[in-house]
Amino acid sequence: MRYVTEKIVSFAITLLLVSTVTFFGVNVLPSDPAMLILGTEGDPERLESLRQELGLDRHVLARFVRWLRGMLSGDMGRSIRYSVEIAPLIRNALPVTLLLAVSAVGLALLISIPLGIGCAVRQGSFLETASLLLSQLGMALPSFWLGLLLINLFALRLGWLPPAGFTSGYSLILPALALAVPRAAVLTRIVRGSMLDALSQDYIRTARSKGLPRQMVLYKHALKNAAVSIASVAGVHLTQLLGGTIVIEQVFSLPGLGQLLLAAALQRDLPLVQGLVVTSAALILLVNFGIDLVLMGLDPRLRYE
Amino acid sequence: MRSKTVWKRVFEISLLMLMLVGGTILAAAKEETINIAVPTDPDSFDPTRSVAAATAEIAFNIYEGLVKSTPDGQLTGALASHWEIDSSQTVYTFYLREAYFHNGTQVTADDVVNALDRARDPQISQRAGNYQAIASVHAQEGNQVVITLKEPYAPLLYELTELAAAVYPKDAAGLDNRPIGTGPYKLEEWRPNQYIKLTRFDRHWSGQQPFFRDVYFRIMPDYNSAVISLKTGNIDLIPRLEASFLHQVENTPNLAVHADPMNLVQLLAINNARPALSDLKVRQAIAMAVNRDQIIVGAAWGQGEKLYSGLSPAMPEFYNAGLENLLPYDPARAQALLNDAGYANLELTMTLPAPYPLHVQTGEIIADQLRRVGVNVRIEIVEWGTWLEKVYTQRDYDLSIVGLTGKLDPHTILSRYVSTNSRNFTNFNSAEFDRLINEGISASGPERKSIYDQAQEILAREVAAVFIMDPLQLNVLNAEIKGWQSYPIYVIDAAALYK
Repeated sequence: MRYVTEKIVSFAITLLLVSTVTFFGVNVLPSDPAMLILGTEGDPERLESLRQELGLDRHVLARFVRWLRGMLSGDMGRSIRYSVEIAPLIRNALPVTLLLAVSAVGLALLISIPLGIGCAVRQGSFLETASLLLSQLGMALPSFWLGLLLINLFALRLGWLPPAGFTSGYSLILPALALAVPRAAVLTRIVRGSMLDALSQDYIRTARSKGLPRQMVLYKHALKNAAVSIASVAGVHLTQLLGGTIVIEQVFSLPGLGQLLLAAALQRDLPLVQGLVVTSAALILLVNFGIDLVLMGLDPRLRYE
Repeated sequence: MRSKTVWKRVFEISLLMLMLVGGTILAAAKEETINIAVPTDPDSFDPTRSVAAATAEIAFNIYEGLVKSTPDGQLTGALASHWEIDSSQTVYTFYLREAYFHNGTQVTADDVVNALDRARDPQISQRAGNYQAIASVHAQEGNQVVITLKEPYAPLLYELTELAAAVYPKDAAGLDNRPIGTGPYKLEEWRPNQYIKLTRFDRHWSGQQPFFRDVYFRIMPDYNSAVISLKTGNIDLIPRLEASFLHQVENTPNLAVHADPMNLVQLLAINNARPALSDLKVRQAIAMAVNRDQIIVGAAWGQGEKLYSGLSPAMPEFYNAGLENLLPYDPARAQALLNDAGYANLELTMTLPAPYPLHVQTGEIIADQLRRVGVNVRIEIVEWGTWLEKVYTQRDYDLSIVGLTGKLDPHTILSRYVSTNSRNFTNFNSAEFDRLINEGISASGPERKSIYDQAQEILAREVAAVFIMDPLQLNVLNAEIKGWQSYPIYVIDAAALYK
């Protein structure tokens, strides 16, 4: 119980800090939404009346307090850029980013776990050399570039998958793959390293000498121990993706949180930026919490700390 | 063995039929739909609030005013079938057609009066400033609307084509995202960051039905993915494609490129109020150091028309075509002028807007051209918001490059160079020019043309800015789609397209 209360309090404080920093950070930037909306047709009179209409003539602190009060009562306010409520905007974008991040990390695990185990078990084999070489390449390849290559091959030349936009689940295959490959490259090395580490432990020798089947030693004893470091690294990647698929969303024209945030920031749509930042921050906190739970499940020692 | 073959055959045939049927259904659905890539979402569909060009080009299909523009920039009746102007040039009488709103109600003169009264109310409308010449609007027996002006104002009819003067039902609310107009298409769905879906309106006054039932404007901020989607057939049309992508789409068999003037005036803005730049000789030297041909090839991939003053040839009625040799490209003379003025080693900063590669590249080329005549230019690339604040609003800059979007009336375009105009960010100051613009408001016919000819000449000779080019608008379509119409304003005329 105390653990839960502590978590909730630290959640709230983190969110408050994050939103305060963003609010004032965005306010320091030159220009404001009114100026950006009017562009090269603006004049001081219209600028003034638009600022009044958008509530930008009020003091920064007053605006912040007003925003905070709205947030606490569950009202995220209206977007300046899109002239609509913010909550549905985020509700529409959230699943795209969430699905993309989860499938990218899932795909990365699907590739890296068998490869990593293979490398650890057959040290010095062709498989290991090839995997390590490919992993080096994968780590050096930026996701957006890989994304463009994938579009060229699978959408343009073969015509199997849509090149851009979000029309169905198929739209997520290429971007997820583009995000997964560099992560799989890192994870393969982590899996290999932690498996090698686990396999050299005394208890493995004991298990082997007891005459346990090879498979059981590998999966039940070694992998379970290696899983702690694999899960924590995968978790880091997941949180990273939740906060930053902006580039890949741009390359594939995906209507996710990243693209919304970019549009909002460029237009100085402060309420929308705030809503998005708080949402991603909350998401990351939740995922971190989830990972903590998973790690505790995997490693009993963590439970009593 | 035998029965297995039979079943296999049955399976094959049914699969084939399924594919055929499915294919036909898909093809039929595709036939009726057109997908257009646009870089950003509209800001608001409320005519009193919207200011973005991104909205105007979509809203052209949804809303109509009393009059509208034709593809060559002429006026034609929209909700008004015709109109009369009295001899004092201050009373305009519009005769309304029988027309219906998207919600099924008939358009009345009261709706028009309400919309125009709101459009000119500074408390309500963002564009009220454009309609301050209007003294009153009232409905008259026989479905007529009478607009009375305070004094003659020639641009009025052009201002009435703008989205700000669109007509909507007088009891309409929430037009922001639920527009109700009279245009050939109505808004079906708007999913921000994804698409805007328009559907054919069956009761348009013209009695004609657009070919495509559904029009999707798909938001694709990245031109790379838009171009690939065009090649794979997921997108049918990219309006205003950036010139640097031209080589990816030209000479592609299933694509057609329409290149027409955009009516955008790209200029090297010179801050006329800066000490060195307030010297006419220095400005003229800069103008003579600029080689437009090199810029059009280097920055616009050859896709641009040279400009010498503030109007583009996309406005044939008012364009002054005789200014080419006023200050021709002549680096030697430019250098001599600079020496003459005592600025042999001038140092200037050029502030460029990052999101516009065309302007940035143009700036880099011009900086190089200026260095050749001894002007040392330091380039500073800033984000759009910063540009608007620093260059446009505070006028704190030496040189900059930007594009000014076209309007239908020369007054709206040229009045920004009037010394007291708040949009005059080049700080241009010419009493003669101010006088001409003031006269142009109430002039008409050949007299008006002659006034704007002189005004354009002053802008060029006294170098309010160095006018560079009107970049061509590259509209790239799937070759199966016909009927594309380029306008001198921001318009995507979806109703004109067919297969």
